[in-house]
Amino acid sequence: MSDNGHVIKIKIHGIGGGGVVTTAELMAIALIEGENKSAQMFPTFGPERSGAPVTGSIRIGGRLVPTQIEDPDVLIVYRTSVNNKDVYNGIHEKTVVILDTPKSPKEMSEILKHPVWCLDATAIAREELKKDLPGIALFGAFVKATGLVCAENMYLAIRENFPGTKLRGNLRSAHRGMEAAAFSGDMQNIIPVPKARESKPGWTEIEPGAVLVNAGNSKEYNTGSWGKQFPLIDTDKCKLCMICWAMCPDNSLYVSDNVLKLDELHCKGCGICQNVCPDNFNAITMREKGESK
Amino acid sequence: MKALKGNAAVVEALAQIEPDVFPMFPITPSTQIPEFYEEKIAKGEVTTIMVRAESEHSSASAAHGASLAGARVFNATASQGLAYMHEVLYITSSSRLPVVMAVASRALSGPINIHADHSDSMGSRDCGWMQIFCENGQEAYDTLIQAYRIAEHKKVLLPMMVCFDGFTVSHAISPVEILDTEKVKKFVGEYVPERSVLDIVHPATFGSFALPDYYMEYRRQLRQAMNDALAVITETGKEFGKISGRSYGLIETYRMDDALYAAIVIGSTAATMKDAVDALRKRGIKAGVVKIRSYRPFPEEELSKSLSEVRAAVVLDRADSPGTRSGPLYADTCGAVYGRNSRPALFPHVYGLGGRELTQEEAEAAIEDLTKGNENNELYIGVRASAEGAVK
Repeated sequence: MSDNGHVIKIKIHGIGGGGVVTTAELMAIALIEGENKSAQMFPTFGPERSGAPVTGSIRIGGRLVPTQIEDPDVLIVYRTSVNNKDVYNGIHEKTVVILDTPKSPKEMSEILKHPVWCLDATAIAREELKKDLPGIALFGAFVKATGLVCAENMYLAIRENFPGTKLRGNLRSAHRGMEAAAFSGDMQNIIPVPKARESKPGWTEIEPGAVLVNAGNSKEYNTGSWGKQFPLIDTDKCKLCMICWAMCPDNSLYVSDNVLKLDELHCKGCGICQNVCPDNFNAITMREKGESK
Repeated sequence: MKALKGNAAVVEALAQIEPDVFPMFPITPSTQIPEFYEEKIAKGEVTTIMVRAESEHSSASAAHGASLAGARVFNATASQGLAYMHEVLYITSSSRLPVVMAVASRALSGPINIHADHSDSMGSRDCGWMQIFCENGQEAYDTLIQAYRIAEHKKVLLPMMVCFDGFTVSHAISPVEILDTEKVKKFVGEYVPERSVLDIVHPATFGSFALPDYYMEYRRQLRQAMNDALAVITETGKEFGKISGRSYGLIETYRMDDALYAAIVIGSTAATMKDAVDALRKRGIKAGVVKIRSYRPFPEEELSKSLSEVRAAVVLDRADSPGTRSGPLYADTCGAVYGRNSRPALFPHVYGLGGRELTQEEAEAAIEDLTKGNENNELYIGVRASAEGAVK
């Protein structure tokens, strides 16, 4: 990729608390201070909470315009957002797509109908950082796939921005990401994904005062992805006393076939159930998602 | 006919309307409103629930909450109190709650000043509340009776400030005709809100959140309601005329039919300007007054029409917008007439800040100067530049 006067646009999609903004910041630092490019980075946020969609946008060259990137030249997608078809809106034939996924590039390119770079960045992060922070591994993949930042500048940016204890894990993530990223191969006849414009109601159709009238619609909102933890239920120890059911703020514990079960679509991982489960039962233990059971 | 202070006239209307809830916090010169009203409650004449809030921010929040529950709500304040409510005002209007609030217009500090001035009301002109300004006690009484009917109208559903000058109206006694209570109750009608936060049969969420993809649509809706209010205010003013013999509109014109020079003014100073016009007319100057009654929504059409044959007009602001040419009324007037085929030359003046009176002399001079074509360089009428005396 070259930027002969053309503005290069990079977009990163992930969820809050996943390190999207940090990764985008590092890329911008590497571009501005390392590669001496004129670059701009800004995040966009949904609601202020962990688990909400977050994007990082980077423009290389051009003015510092405060508008979101709709047509990225490089698209980087975290595991949490790979299956969200909205993130692919606006990509064009030449867009370099980098996905954090355990699936193979061939498989993903067939699904997306677009060439892709794939790597299991989340697995790398879990090993090197013990957390779901795949961004640095994706940074490595970005270096390999685009060459917009050279490896030295990537490592420099990481060294200058992570404290001693985290440094080694991040350097290793970056390196492994670079090694692991694999390309699907070019495709003929790429079918461009059209920019989907949901038809949303206009001002003449919405409820005055922003009153929301479909009561009980929280059922449809799957907040389960927000949580970093989930309760592991030991059904042998559980005596179905139902205290956890009563205290769960998200109605996510229920009994079915005489056994306590978890509604994974709505559990936010707050841990109240573990706290209230009586000490002599100790039937619930909170576990990090992704940790092996 | 009764002799009533402006605040008392408001209370008479309020007692006839008998709103459900009145959360209060005292501030001069509006304090007498909850004071006199509580006396009526103590005598058993009315049964409104008064809530003693801990501040104006709280009284506005209590008003908001009570309105959400479906109550007809009233509030009263001035100056710093109105400023203190500022963030809540936006929420009440965007929630489309028809709260009515009396504002005894008073200068905003600093320096601390308790006298008549429009800076408090003007400071809230963009928060989505309607603002109707009353010239005297009778107008305050009459407007309060019209207020709920306008605010609760299905096409409007916006809160309203009924403004009148602090002390010069709030504490001034003048003749006020009180209408028959049955007539008033019939005119105002029952408040039947479409929704209530207490309605468990039709539950809903109030005070929701909107991302960039929806916020603008809700604001556009509010703008539409404010636009639609123009017709509702006009219609209600006409209907009120039928029960009282006193009709109201968005503006009031005085001797404007053949006027070549005009003064555009808000509030009790309109009376001074009318006197000035009478004096000028005796001297052969064809002058007139356009009094803005409905300031929000701003009566663009009516104002422009009234000025279409006028050569020059002075716009009198009782609030300033430092950093711009003059005060907010001047800016709104220019906006209204800009681009129209016939429009007068407009000259700004700021008067009466902190309660300083506009004298008859000054009032006449403000209009007469238009005929001489000399632009007075000092924006502030009657201000002293130095000890030698006031700058004319």
